[in-house]
Amino acid sequence: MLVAGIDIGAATAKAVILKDSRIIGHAVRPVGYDVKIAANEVSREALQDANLSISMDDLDFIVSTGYARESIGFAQKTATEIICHAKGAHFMIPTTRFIIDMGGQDSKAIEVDSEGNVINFTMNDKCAAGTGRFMEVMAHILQVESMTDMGPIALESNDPCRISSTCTVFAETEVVVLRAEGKERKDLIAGVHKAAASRVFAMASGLKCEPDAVFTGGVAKNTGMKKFLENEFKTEFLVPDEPQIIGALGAALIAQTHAGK
Amino acid sequence: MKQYYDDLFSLCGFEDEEINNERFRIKATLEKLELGPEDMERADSWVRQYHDVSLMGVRKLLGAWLKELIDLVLAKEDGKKIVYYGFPAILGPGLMLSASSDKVFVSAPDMVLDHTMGQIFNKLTPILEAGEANGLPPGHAMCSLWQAKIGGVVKGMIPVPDFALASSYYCDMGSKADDLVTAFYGTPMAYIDGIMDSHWGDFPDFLPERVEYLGGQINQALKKAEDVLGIKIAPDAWEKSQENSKQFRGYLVRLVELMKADPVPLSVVELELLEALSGSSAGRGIREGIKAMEILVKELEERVKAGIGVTEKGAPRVMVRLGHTSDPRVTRLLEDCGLAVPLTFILGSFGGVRVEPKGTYNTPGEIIANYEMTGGYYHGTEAQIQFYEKAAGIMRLDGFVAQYLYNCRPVATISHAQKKYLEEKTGLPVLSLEIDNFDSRTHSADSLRTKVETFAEMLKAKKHK
Amino acid sequence: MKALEKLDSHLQSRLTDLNKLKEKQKIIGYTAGGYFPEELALACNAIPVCFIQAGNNNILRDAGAYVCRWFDPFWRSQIGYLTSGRDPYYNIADLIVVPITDNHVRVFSNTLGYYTPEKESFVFGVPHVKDKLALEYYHKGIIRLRKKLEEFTGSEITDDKLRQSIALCNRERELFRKISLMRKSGSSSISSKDFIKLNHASFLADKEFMIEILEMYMQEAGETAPRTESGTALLFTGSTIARDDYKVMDIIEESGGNIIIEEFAEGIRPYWNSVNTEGSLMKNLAESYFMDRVCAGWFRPGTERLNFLIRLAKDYNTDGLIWYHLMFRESYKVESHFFPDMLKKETGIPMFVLESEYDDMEKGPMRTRIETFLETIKR
Repeated sequence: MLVAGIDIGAATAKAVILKDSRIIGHAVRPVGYDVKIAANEVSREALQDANLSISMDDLDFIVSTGYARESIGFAQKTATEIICHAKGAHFMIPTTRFIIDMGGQDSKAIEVDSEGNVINFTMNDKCAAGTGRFMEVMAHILQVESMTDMGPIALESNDPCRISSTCTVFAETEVVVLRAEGKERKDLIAGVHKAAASRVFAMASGLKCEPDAVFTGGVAKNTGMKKFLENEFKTEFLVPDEPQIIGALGAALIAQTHAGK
Repeated sequence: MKQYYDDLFSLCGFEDEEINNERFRIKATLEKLELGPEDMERADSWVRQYHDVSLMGVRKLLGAWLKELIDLVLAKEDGKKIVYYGFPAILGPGLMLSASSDKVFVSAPDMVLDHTMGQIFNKLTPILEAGEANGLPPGHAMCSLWQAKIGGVVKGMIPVPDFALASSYYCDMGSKADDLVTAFYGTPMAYIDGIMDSHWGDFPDFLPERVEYLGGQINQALKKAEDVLGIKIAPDAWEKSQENSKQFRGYLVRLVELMKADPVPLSVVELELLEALSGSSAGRGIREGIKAMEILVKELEERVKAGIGVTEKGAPRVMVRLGHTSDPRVTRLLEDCGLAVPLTFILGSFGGVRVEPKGTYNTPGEIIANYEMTGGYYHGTEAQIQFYEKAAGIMRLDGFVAQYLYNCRPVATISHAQKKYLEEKTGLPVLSLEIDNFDSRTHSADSLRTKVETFAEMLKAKKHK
Repeated sequence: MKALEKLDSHLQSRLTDLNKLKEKQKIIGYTAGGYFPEELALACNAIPVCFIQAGNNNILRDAGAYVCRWFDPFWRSQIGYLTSGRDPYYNIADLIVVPITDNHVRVFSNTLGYYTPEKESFVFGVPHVKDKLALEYYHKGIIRLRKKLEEFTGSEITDDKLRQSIALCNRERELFRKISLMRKSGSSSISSKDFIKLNHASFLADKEFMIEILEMYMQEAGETAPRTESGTALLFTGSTIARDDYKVMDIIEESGGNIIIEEFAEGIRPYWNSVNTEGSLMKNLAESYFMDRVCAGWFRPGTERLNFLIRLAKDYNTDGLIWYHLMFRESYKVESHFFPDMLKKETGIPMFVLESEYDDMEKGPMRTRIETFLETIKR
């Protein structure tokens, strides 16, 4: 059985090809302007990665997820990214009970049962603080190549700066001011991580963070963020291989349950 | 001769004769509201898409709102003395003034604008923007109901009132926004002040002086209204004022019973239309609403008998606080995601929590105050949260969509507590949803979709387990 | 000044002192706003302390676990301090009293009742209009409070004890009044920040000690030469000025502004009136605390306060008014829209509005705006 999951997020498009519960190909690319083109391209790349010279029409079932999930014409079904992250994380780490997903424009905290079903969740409201976008804006100001590259630098700091702003735009100003005051770059970067982690922690209050806790989404590739989340939640976070494709993987797993029905 | 608005008004339940009789008034109203032929076309497809026009009761209900709108917009021309009251309303005083003189027109204009300029014409935004430009700026969590009211007055769409009954018992925003009207136009007002000082854990007990105080304030407001409007409150005003609302509430109680059916026979979009009418009109709207309800209840009885509903049989059942007053898409989202909504907070108050009274009262003010207190709404946060808890059993709920209006401090006070409370007390899943029930610009259906859809999937999975 | 140094050292050891005193006396914590008659606590040998700490954005994150963002940051700070225990005064209080004014206080009261039921609390409502009915309601509220305090402390509040406490608090109010009036000429040694800090200290300090300090301060201030640059005379008003929320005052002073009179609902003790010690003392307390004091912005209408501000602006011959309210305190936000015209018409002076959510980054833009405003009104 050959199925696919397509996750079109705010910043990146992800695709996973699954054959009989085994990942045989995946791809990640920026969304760009046109979500449909992104979906086509990322699917083509995933098929290529799986060494398949077929088209998406030849697959048994396709599920789309992410904020543009409704726009993917070739998908037979849609599912929300929250459900997909739960499924995907549970597949990769079956002992998963709690998930923090930090994506491009939103972050989520999800409680799951032993079968990977969502039993409670929360998601940020219209605020980019604590999301990939926040981290990217900060990376740009602090002149670090990418959001992921900030992680190891943040871990070098013993004295993270305090970034108090509740808004990404204002936090940007705050970082500029702190930079002008001569604060060390590593402390600024650590401050940015601390601010994002504490925002996510506040958002997740009210949910039970029980082990195993798993960290997914593009931001999970940032090792510094993992550490700062662990400090906030006072628990270890496991990061699956390729944390960015967990949503697409979850979509593919849902596709698998529908294929042949 | 047929006019550009005939089709829409007919769709909204107007009989041909009614349209013909009221042509002059309809035209004058539409002109004031800056609504032309293109707006009618857009409204026609909007109403067909988002309201259940297969039910004549719903069409008539939309018509009732339009009739209230016409009377509101033309109240000055009609030679009425205009009284606006604040929402959420302690309705009694307004109803009594209305029952005491034909010359007095009493209304909650913000709710009327929301349900017509929003729900029917999808053209509320310019009014809200006018409110934002006149003392209630965006980005400060200002109440969008008040933005609509101020915006409507400033734009000259609705008349400047002769008197305002400010809702001072519940929120701080309402009275302050009424102060704006006074600052702009010198409108005299009375503040119906009350005090929400329940101590958490005291429910259902309360201090009798709270009823006495609110009652006294209502009596003072009525006295002031008499002076300002130059009228006398009729001795039978209270009884008379109850005639319409009792009848309407009677239908609401029957509706609560019908909504217990599976599948749920009526969309929460329409439920909101009729719930809100009972709190927003003291005149033609409510009278026409009663006629609409009579038709609607019969239609719904047929639906229940035939097993017809707005969602699939067995769909997870949730309760929400309130439907969206101006944008049906937001409320419709729940059903689009496969959730049945048999009850809202407001409907719950017609068969939900009752608090035992602590005395017998004779003055109109105290009778009204006692009614508000024993109904639970004025009691406080804890009483309000109990509505939800009780509703779980009454309506066999599978979960709660615990909305909180981000820009309404008295509601937002339980933004976080309600989820914890309901999860612990009922064991049911709760989706905490930040929303603006009066304006969809900041909290659109699209922005809420992922959360609602996930919650719906969660409930479906739980139900099928 | 020596008085201030002495006061600082008193406050530094205050928690340790209170911990010792707690063995024999009850500590009554109460929320800000000036509607808790401290006299009642003092008359039953209890120690009143007011929760007045705020100004740090960090605590708002703690509060975020209990309530959404759309409330006044001062009251969200109180929720943060209450639940996290990061303001030790919350931990030390035996009873928490909340006079409920508006919904920002109500959200605190709900949080206190629901999330921290182990903390004993007492709430009573403050009406939003001033009339006979409202006075009666407030009067009944403080009678219930009195009964609660008597039961809680096991100490009866006799008329004699209450009269003594009122006299003590009257003395404190009188001293604040006198110190405040010393600044009227625009040329004195007293800075607004010092005056406000004295107020904040008075919410925590031992009452008799505080009176000694105020007496000493007044004498010292009279003997000290006025600050050389008097600057632009300003009236400073708003919803709340919390202990440690001194950023705006610092910027104003650094930019050459001279605040000579303030009006805040939360953070400054209502000091203009004294409580009558003849007749029914409870009625006198109600009259003074509810009717006589200038109402806050959430009163309906707020005209009394707005007229009071106009009078202050005229009496003190100020050059401008700085209106500082906290984000989401809607009463003040709406009034800030129509009051500038009223003020201009009555006094000719301009008003400038500042808003804060206790963000550090507000400093830069605030400084630019304050400097520009002061530049435009320079004498």
